[in-house]
Order: sequence, then C-alpha cells, then structure tokens
Amino acid sequence: MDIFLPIAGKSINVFLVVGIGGIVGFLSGLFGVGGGFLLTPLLMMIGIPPAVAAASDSNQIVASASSAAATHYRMGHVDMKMGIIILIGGLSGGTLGVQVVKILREMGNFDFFIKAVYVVILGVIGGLMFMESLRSLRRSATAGPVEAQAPGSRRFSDWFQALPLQMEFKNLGMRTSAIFPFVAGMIVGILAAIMGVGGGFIMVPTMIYIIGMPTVMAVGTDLFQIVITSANVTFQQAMRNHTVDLMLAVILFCGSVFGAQLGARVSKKLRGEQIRILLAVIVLIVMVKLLFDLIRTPENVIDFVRASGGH
Amino acid sequence: MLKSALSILLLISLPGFCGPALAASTSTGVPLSVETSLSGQFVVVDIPLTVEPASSDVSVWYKGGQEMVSGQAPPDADAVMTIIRSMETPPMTLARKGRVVLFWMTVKKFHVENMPGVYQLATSAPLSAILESIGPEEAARNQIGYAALREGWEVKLTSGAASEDDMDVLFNGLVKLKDKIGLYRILENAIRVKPDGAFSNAFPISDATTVGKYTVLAYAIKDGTIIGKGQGEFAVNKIGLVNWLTAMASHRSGIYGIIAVVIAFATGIVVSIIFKGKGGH
Repeated sequence: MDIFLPIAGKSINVFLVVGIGGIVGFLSGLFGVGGGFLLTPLLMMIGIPPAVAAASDSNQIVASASSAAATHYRMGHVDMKMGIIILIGGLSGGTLGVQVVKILREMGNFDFFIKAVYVVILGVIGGLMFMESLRSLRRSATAGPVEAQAPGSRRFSDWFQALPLQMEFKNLGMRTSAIFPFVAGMIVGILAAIMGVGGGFIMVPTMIYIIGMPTVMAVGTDLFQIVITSANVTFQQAMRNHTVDLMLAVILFCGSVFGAQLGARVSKKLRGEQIRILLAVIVLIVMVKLLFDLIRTPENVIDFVRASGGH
Repeated sequence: MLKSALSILLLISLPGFCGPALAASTSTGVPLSVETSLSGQFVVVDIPLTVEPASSDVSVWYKGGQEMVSGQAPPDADAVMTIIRSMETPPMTLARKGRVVLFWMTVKKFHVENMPGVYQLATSAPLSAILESIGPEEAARNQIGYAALREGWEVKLTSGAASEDDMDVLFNGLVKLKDKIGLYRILENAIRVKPDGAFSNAFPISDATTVGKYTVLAYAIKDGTIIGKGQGEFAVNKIGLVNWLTAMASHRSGIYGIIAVVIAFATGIVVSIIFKGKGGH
C-alpha cells in the first residue's frame, strides 16, 4: 500500500515506513535515545530528501520519546530536576550551535565536516562504552550479579563536589553541582546542532559515565528532555524551512510509539551493562557505515546540493 | 534504413518551445501555423494531438501516473517523436565530488540554469538515426535529445577550480540523477505508428514530478526534414489532503508546526496510557 508524502513529494510504501518507525522506536525506548542518528540515514536510504528526513524525524521523535518518557516516568526513572537543568543547558547549546553551523556552512564542505565529526564522536563513544560494558559483563559473569547501575567515575564526582551550586537530586539519590549537568547539556546541544540530531546517543553516555547516573535513570531523564528539545526543533523546522512532512511523521510514529513501549519494558528487564553494550554496538555500526560512505567511490560524482537542513 | 522505415518521435516540452503556449490543458489537437520547410519541398502540417488525462491529480494514494499521447502524422512520415517537458526551468546547485587523500568530498559547486525539470522523449525509430537525419542544428532548434538541452544550459562554477572535463561530467551526472527519479527519459521505439499515420505512446509520470504545467510536442519527420508538428499540454495538480497539507506547510507554517507537535505529543501520551491500561507498569 503506497501513500504520497506531500512535503517529501514522493510516494512510499506505508508498511516499510511503519516498520522503520517501529525499529527506531524500540531502540529509543530501550536506550533513551531519540533515534535520529539512525532514522535520518534510513529515511534518506529510501529516497526521502535529507532536509525533509531530518525535520520529519524530529516530529516523530516527539511522539516516540513522549510515549517512552511517560512510561519511564511512571516507573520512577525520570529525575525532573536533573532533566530540566540539562534541558536548559541543551537549549542554550543548541542556539549557540546553530550559529556555529552558519559559520561552517559559509566555509564550505559542511556535509563532509558533519560526517567526519559523526565518525569521530561515534567511534570514541561507541568504542569506550563497548570496552567498559564488556568489562562489566565479564566481571558479573565471574563474580556473580553485581550492581546493575552506573559505573560513574569517582574522579569526576569528587571533582564536582568542589564546584558551587550543589544540589540534591532525590530520585537519583545523589548530590552534585548544577553547573556540570548544565555544561554537559550545553556541549551536547552544540554538537547536536552541528550534527543535526537530538544528541541522545551522546547525552546518555555522558549522564552515565561523567555525571554518574544509574543507566535506567539516564535513559528516562534523557527521554524527558528529548521530548522538549525535539518539539522545539520540529516547530523551528516547520517555521523556517517548511520541511516537516506531517504525513511521513504520522506514519512513522504509528510504528515508533508501539516500538518505544516495547523498548521501555525490555530496558527494565536488562541489566545496565547489557543495555550499554547493545547501544555501543549500534553506535559502532552506524560509525562504520558513515566511514564507509566517506571512503567508497560514489555511484555518481555529481549530486544536488541540499537545501539547508540540520538543526 | 530510417528513410524507408515509418517511425515517429514524440516530445513533451515547455510552451513556447516550438509554438505559443496553450491557454488550457486540453485533450484535443492544437492547430499550429503552417510553415514551409528549409528545403522548400515540404510544408509543415499540423498534427492533431490528444493528451490524456488533461490533469494528473496528486492525491494521498498517488504513486505516479501515465500520460497517453496520440495523434495523426502524415502517412508518408519516416519517423515520429513526442516530447514532454516542464514549463519550469528551476535553477539548481550541483556539487562535484572528488577524492581528497582517502575521502570523497565536494570539491566544486556549480549553478545551473535553463535545464527543464522534466524532459522525456519518445521515438518510433532509433534516436541516433533520427538525429543523424535531421542534423544537429534542427535538433538543437527543437531541443530534440539530451545533446540539444546541453546547447541551451547555462553553467557557472561557484566554488573550486575548473577542470577540462567539468562540463561532460556535470551534464552526464545531472542526467543520471534525473533519470534515477524518473524525470528524464529517452523512450526509443516506444511509439506505435499505424499505416495511416495514427500514432500513440504512453509517458510514465514519476511521483517526483512537481506540480505545474507540462507541454507535449509531436514531430513527424521525412527525409531528414520535420514535416509535421503538434502541441498539447497537461497539468499536475495536488488535490485534497495532499494539497491542504502542502498549503498549510508553506503558507501557515506556525500553525502547521504547532499541529505537528501537538499530534505527536498526544499520540505518544495516549499510547503510553493505553499500554498502562493493558497491564503495563
């Protein structure tokens, strides 16, 4: 069954799009990521123009993330205070990042720059997370069940104790400086704007490894802030670039909201290190694919120059 | 041999391409003014042309369509051609990639104008034989074949250093891009011609075809001379929900953006509640 997407200007098989939405929604609920880093390339692969893919992707993330976030919230996996501080940092970083994007665009070869940044960041995050979670898995295999929570670094948390603006995060059962989550949110916001995605796949490891949050709390809290940031991005894209295809987004979230529910439930059954190693593998697969695209001889050396997308 | 074989070439093109634009998209033939050919031997006759449907409507279930072109060529014609061409020639920015050390990246950019958004050409005989018989000047004048389009295009290098093969690589790459999404096509031997000169062919209309008006042209050729011309047109329109969403997205983008966010948020929350009700956490 085919359907015509008014903004993408293309006819597409409904079941294919629902299926893609379902898979990405599942990963979103499981890992607490928006899924933009997977969905945008997948949509481009089935012929959706890049600018429309990125914008409609943000719209569907609002649906899948709010579905998963509401479920995580009921399970007590969302720390609102931490989420709001990160969110404020993320929004400031995003605004700053958009300006950085403007400057980079004027310098030319922006697409290559984005992909190169992606490859480096995904490689570093995926690699580190993979090695760490593998160590944890081995440890739990030899020493029996261990705490399934965060491997948060002592060095970082000791350092945060010295910073001003100390706050109590009751849901997390921790006390730390508000400055750090704000700065972490801001840095991720800048990177997210440059790379044109929500940044969950950077934010979740940051919350786990640097802030020291338990994995499942990082997932729930990140989903909460993703709902707000992706809603903002969807609105901005609709206003500025007219690239949000509501029809595409609705079909996508027909699949993704259910996938997200399933993912949120599966996340409860898995141990922290199991979730982390799965996320690490996916991040590394995406990194290898992007690297391959940069090295492989293109089918056609001529291409249309994209309308400015990104956010 | 072309001159001994009956063949027909059909062309869809912009109004004004070989005659005045039509006032409406119609399925009836359009009388063109009678001319004397350069050789003086032939008079260019009108080819009554029928284009159906007059309007290709893009609805929610649209997945591309088809335009049937039929007409009556002089019975003694060697070949018939039909062309469809968009009325718009939107400017484009194209990038050329090159290998820099290990990686493929954009090394130069071009601004291209005067290339039609859609160009499809159908013939009743091999195109190379038709082009050889009419000669490059006549082909260029009537924009028959890709080489003729290249005669009229305007290219400006906007970044990077020029190289000798730029124009060839750029043109071939552009045609390949357009061909991939079904906007440019050469349909050789696709026109059936009856002994009395009646001919017809179907042009596939890609779902990537944009809204607008399209011109259809027909040519009959004998002994290397165009002896008959016909012109028609059709339109591509968005209708219903597709039209409403497009209009909202471009003209009321603020409201559209809010609707998009609210629908997404509400769906997420409702699904979460439904799942909770079904025994979830």
